Order: sequence, then structure tokens, then C-alpha cells
Amino acid sequence: MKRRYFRSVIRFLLLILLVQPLTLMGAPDDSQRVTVIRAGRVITGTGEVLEPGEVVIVEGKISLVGNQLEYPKNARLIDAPGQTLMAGMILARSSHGLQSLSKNGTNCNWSPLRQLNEESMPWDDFLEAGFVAASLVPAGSGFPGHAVVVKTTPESSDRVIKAAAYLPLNGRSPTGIYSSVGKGFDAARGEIEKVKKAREKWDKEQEEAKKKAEEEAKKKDGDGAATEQKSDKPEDEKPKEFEPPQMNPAVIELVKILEENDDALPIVFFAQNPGLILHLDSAISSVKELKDRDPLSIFILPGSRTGAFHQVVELLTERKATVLVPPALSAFPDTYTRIYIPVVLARGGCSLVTLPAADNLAGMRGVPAKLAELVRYGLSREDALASVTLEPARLLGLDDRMGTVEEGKEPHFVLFDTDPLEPGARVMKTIIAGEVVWDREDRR
Amino acid sequence: MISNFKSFLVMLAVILLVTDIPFTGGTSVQLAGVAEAQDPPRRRRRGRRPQPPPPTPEPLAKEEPLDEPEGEYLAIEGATIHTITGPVIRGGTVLSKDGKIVSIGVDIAVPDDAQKIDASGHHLYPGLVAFRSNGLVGSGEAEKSQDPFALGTVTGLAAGITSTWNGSRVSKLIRGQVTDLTLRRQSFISISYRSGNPGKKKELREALEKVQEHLRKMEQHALEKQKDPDAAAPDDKWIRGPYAIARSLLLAEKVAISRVSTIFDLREICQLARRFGFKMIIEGAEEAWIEPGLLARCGASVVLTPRSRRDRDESRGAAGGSSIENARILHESGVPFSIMPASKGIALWGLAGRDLSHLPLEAAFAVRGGLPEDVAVESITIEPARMLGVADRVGSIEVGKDADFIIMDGDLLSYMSHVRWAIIDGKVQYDKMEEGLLDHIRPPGEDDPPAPDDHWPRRLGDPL
Repeated sequence: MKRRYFRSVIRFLLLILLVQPLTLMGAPDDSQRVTVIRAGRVITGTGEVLEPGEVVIVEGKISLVGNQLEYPKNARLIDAPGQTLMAGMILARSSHGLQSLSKNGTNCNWSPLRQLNEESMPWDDFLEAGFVAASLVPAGSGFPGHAVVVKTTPESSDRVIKAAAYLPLNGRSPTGIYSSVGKGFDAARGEIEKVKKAREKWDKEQEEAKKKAEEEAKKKDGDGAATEQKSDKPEDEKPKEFEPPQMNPAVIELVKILEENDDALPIVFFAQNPGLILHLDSAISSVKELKDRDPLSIFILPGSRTGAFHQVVELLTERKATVLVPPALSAFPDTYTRIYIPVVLARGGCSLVTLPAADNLAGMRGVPAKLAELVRYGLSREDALASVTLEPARLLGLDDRMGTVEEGKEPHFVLFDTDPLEPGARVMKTIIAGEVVWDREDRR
Repeated sequence: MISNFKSFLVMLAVILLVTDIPFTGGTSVQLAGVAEAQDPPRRRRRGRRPQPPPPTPEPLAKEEPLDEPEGEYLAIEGATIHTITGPVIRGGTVLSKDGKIVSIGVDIAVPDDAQKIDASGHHLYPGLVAFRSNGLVGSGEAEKSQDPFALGTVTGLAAGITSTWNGSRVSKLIRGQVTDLTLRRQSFISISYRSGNPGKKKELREALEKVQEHLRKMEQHALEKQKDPDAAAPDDKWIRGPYAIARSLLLAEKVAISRVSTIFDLREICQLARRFGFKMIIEGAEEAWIEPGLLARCGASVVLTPRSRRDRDESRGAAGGSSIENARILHESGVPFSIMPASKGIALWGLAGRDLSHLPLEAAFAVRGGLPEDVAVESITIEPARMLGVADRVGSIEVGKDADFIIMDGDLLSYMSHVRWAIIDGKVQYDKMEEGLLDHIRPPGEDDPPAPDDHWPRRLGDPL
């Protein structure tokens, strides 16, 4: 009897142990719960348009995209009839809201996060314009720091998506470029030499120590077997690991580029005028390690209508460059015709990344309208939308995580009231990680 | 106080509007006393200065690898060829290979794969050489400062200029590339020796005297050393600054350059040059016609601006002022000169015609004063090339020289003519019909083409 009672207690305890996880799973915990977004239209970014469309989010990932999907009754539903859903837009370069600070010279280790003040950061500006992620860059000439990709969620515990995405390189004049590139890589080479020398010195010391030990061993060999045990001792000691001297952290990224490390960051050059691209090529090829490598192929172009960027279209399309360009850039080479630089670049096979015309709320808000304008002048709809979603994701090395509405990607979306390329289209909702973080309804 | 400041601003604006200062910056500063027109100060080295490499023409035979006889040929056919240093060839052909002229003449053999330009009815000249310029080919080393797509370069080519000195280097007006622009490094010693600043005059004269004394001592020392190897050399630590400049003048390492206008100052500086035996280039020389033998005797070269005006100095009572005959008179006295417009830049505003975009017109004004036409053309081609030390590469059409040509649709000195093609190193750098700058003016085959509907200048009263 007593034994049976004991058994039932054990069974009860086992039951509790078994049931507990189930009850946890069944509980309305947000991270586990299924979220469904139902929109009037879904532009997946992979060439498909679903009308109407549904996106199912499970465990923080898109699990299904389609229409008339079946999903659990208790799923959380975000209903947006009549609205158009597409992948959240990504801002490839911004300093908006950062505390202004200019870093000149070579400071590759400088992170713009140090200029970011959570309290005063205007996250709503990004969200209102439909940007779910932004690559923040520091200002300044030369190598002012590295770009950091962050989520634009107002309150986030894991704000940083990528701690280092690319190395911006700025120069206003040819002389500035030659000196930035020259000085930066000279310093990097110096660091490599420093480590090499230290290594050689260490190797030499080790060899000398070994020789000494061997000589001593020989001497002691003559003395007799009694001392043999002692002579074994230095051999037992493990050789000390070589400790390389500390490198200057400001140039480590450039060292990685010289040494062709896998995690070397790409350089993104801000070409104030087209001629600077040629000077950059010449400056880069004057660095002996980089002479025989492919030329740099990621450029930021300015937003003004001046400048003769039509002159370098061929050069950029030849190397299939990635070009970050505000949509307003155009040129009047012969008074009669205007050339829309982003259009000719995209058509020529460059990968086009659109930047706002100005690095502020008005500029960001104007991006879809400007893209619509470019579509009117010959840019394909797909290229236009990709230039704010998939292409920046690719540039930042995040294309496996965001940029399209696809299974397995992170659920960051933006919902427009009509087609995003319709003039006057407005952002209605911005969704980051399956949560509505900005809603126009709340603004009323 | 405020109204004073305001009126100053207004004055400044008026001065800027009226005068034809090129907008491209790089103002020409007359360095006080003795100074050197060279790179910016931060690039200067102390002590020994790097000598410009002697201009060595690359031998033709060596340039072509033996196993690969093919090259890039350009043949310009049918033009009237003004070779400058040789005869004028009518209906001739100029053949260039890899940027160098290989043959000139009538009925010469042209390879089948050569690029051909039919220039019949056109005049072919060597590319013009502007003695000095601002904003055409960067500043300092063109390879590191030139904007390869600058409008100034296109307008320079449209004016026929293919090479120029930017104050530190002689460079070519090549577009779309930032390599192989520099012909040679060139610097002159800018000196000031005029009655307006007697202090500086004295300083320069005394420096020259002192250094000349030192050089004599050095010669004596060299003689002594042959007898006594331990003889102490004269101290030369003090030779720096103005003294170093004086030494490089006395040793003929460098040529002096000076802006001198009045006959009084010309006499003074020529006397100085003859006494110390240094070479010099005079810019301006408006009153040189009064005593042309003066410049001929001291072996100076001159940079003339035939249209510059200067009034006679009444207080001196003698002959004075500028003359349109200045160039002719200097030519007849055997003084070599090149011609430059009043402005060293290319200005797209202000009074037209006084800047480098009208270089041939400036030379034409010397012809108006009696100068032979061929000499006028020389004064904007081979003469400036000689003065800049690049006459072995540019300035005339000769076998072995660089293939830098301009093909005009008329006589170079005619106000009607335009550059049809400008060719540098055997490549077309400017084509009037491709550029959209002057293509609407007398296009080939149309004497009076209809103006495009939407084109500048619009008639007054038309809505914009």
C-alpha cells in the first residue's frame, strides 16, 4: 500500500515534468506565437506579387508566404486590407540623428555607435519613411570609421545587426585621396612589418635558446647519465606561444585588406565628382599590394545635378560596380538631353542602391516618389524596389537575412497605402521582427 | 563705418565684374623681392633642389618592341599642313604611330589598319602651347590634381591649346585619364627689379654681387687645391634664401622670370642681366618697342600681350606707352617672344576674348601691327615650347615629335576659324561636332544652319 502510494507520487511528479513544457508552449508567449500579416498585396521582391497575400511568421522568421493560407486559430493577426506589403527598406548610408563629429585621417576602428545617443535618436524618422535598418557612418575625411548596421526599432535590446559592414572612404580633392590612401596603407604596412620583425626576433631567440640547451645537453652528456634527467627538463617545457605585438587598432581593418583576410571589409568611396574615381584608382594602384587586384567597385555619388557623372558611366558599368546614389543625380552633357545617372547605371548592369536625396526625414520620406520618377525615366520597377531592399542588403552582407519577403528571412516589412511607386504613396505601417513599430493610425 | 564697408563691398563687386579675373582661382601673386615660382612651400626641400630631368626624347626605334611591329596608327589626310619649323604642305598626310609622328608628306604609305581622319579643306597645325595658365590642367603635378572631366580642359582644347605650363609643370590637356599628363617639370625664378620698389632692387643686386664674389673665391680655391690639397674651402653655409636663388641664376641653373613694363625698368633689368650674365624671360614688356636692341643684347625672351594697353608716363617726358607694333619691332630686332592673352585662365564670363580661349586671336592682333603671320603662329606654338623646354616634344610638326595637332576649319589666325579636331598623342581629344560646345556654329556642309528651337542665345523677348 505504502509502495503504491509512493509510485503514484512519482507518476504525478513525472506528469508535471512532462506537462510543464507543454503548458509553456501553449501559453500566449509572443516569441513562440504565430503571427499572420494579411495585406491587400504582397510584393515579395523575388518577382512575385500576391493579391491578396499573407505572411506567416513563426519563431521570428517568415515561415510561409502566400494567400488563403491555413494558420492556427490563436494566431496573432495584423490585418491590412488594401495596403501593399514589401520588404522593409534598408538605408545604406546615414548619419541622421548622430551627434555630429568629424573624424579625419585613418580611424577605421571608430564606430558611429559612440556618436549615438538612444534618448535623442530620431528613430521615428526612419520608421515613418519605411526604413527598418540603417547603416550608420561617421563623418569626416579619409577613413573616418566603419559603418554599423542597426535596427531602427525605438526600443531595442539587440539594436546592432552588423557591427562592421564597410569602410567609408571620403576625399574632396585628389590630393586628399592620395594622402588618405597612401598614409592609411603605409601605416598598415608598417604594422605588418612590426609583427613580422617581432616574429623574426622571437624565432631567432627561440633558436638560440634551443642551441644553448643542446650544447648544454651535450656537455652534460659527457658528465654521465646521472645528469640526463636534468637535461630533459627544458624539453619538457612547452615552447612559449609567440605573442604578436599590439597593432594600431585604427589600421587593423586596412591590414586585413592588405593580407586579403576573409573578413576584410569592403571600401566604399564617396566620389564628390567623377574625376575623383580615376584618382582613387590611381591612388589604390600606387599601393604595391593592391596594384594587381581588382579596382574598387563600390561608390557613393553625390545628390546634386552638377558634375559630369555621365562621363564615368562606362567605367562603372564595365566593372559592374555597386553604386549608392541619390535618385536626383542627373547630368546635362549637351544642354538638350538629361541623363539619369541611376537609370543608365542600373541598365548597364551596375547594382543600384538608392540613398535619400538628403540625410533627413524629408529626404527619406521622398525616396519612393523619387524612385517612381526614375521608373518613369526607364528604370525597371524591380530594380527600383530592389535598390532600397535587396541591393542594400547585399551591400551590407545581410541578403540572407533581409531584403525580400521569403521563407526563412527575418520579418521586417513596410506597408504602403497604395503601390509604393505610385506618386503620393505613404507608409502606413513599419514592421520590425514581426512587430508593428510604427503605425500611421496611431498618429491621428 | 558701415557705409564705408558697404561701399568697399560694392567696389569689390564692380572690380570683379569689370575685370576679367579667371574664376578658376590660383591668383598670380607677384612674390616680393626674390622668390621662386615653383611648387607650394610645403613641398620644398632644403638644400639641394631636385633638378628637372633633362628632356630626353624617347628614341623611336627603341619604343617599338621588335616582335610586335603593330602599333596604333593615326593618319590625317588632305589637310594643309603647317609644320612651323618646315614648309607648308598642301593636301599632305601626317602619319603617327603610338602617339609619335612617323611621317609627313604627300602620297606617303599609310597602313590599312590606321585610323584615318579626312581633313581635306582643313588646316593642320601643331597643338598650341599656352606659356602659362590657370585651371586648365590642375595645379602642381597634374596627375595628382587634374579633374579629368573638367570643363576648362574642353574649352582649352576648343581654343586649340594642347600643352601648357601651370606654374610648376608643363602638362598636356588630356581628358578622361590621370596618367601621363606631364611633359616636364619646369620652374623659373621670379624676380622683381623695378623702380617702384628700390629696396628690393638693392637686395637682389647685393645678393648677386655677394654670390658672384663667392663664386670667384670658389674658382680661386679650385686652383689652390691643385697645389695644396688641404686648402680650406670658402664658407658657403650662408648661401640660402635669396643667396641660393642668386647662385642658381649665376650658375645658369635656372631662368629668371619678371614682369616689366616701362622702358626705364627694362633698361635697368637688362643692365643687371648683362652684368651678371643670367638668362631671363620678361613678361609684359609693353614699352620694349622704344629700344628693341636692349632685349636683343641681353638675350632675353619675352611674353607679349599685343592687346594690353599702357599710357605714356607724362612725367618722364620721353616716348612711352604700349604699341600694336611692339611684336613686329621685337621680331625685327631678333628678340624671341611668345604671345599670351591678358588673362591666364579660361573665363566663361566677363569680357570675351581676353582669356586663353582666344589665344590665336591675341596673336592675330600682333599681325595687325605688322608681324608676319608665320611668326605670329610660331609665337603660340614653337616659341613657348622652347621657352618651357619642351620643344623636343611639342610645338611643331616633325618626325619623332608627339602627335599633338589641331585641325582648323580655316586659317588659325582668322576670327572665323574653329578647331574641328584636337589630337594629343595620336588620339582625338576634342571633336567639335561631338562636344555640344560649339557644334552648332557653322557645322560642316552648312553655311548657315537653322538655329535649334531650344538653344541659347534666345532672342530677346522669347519666353524662357
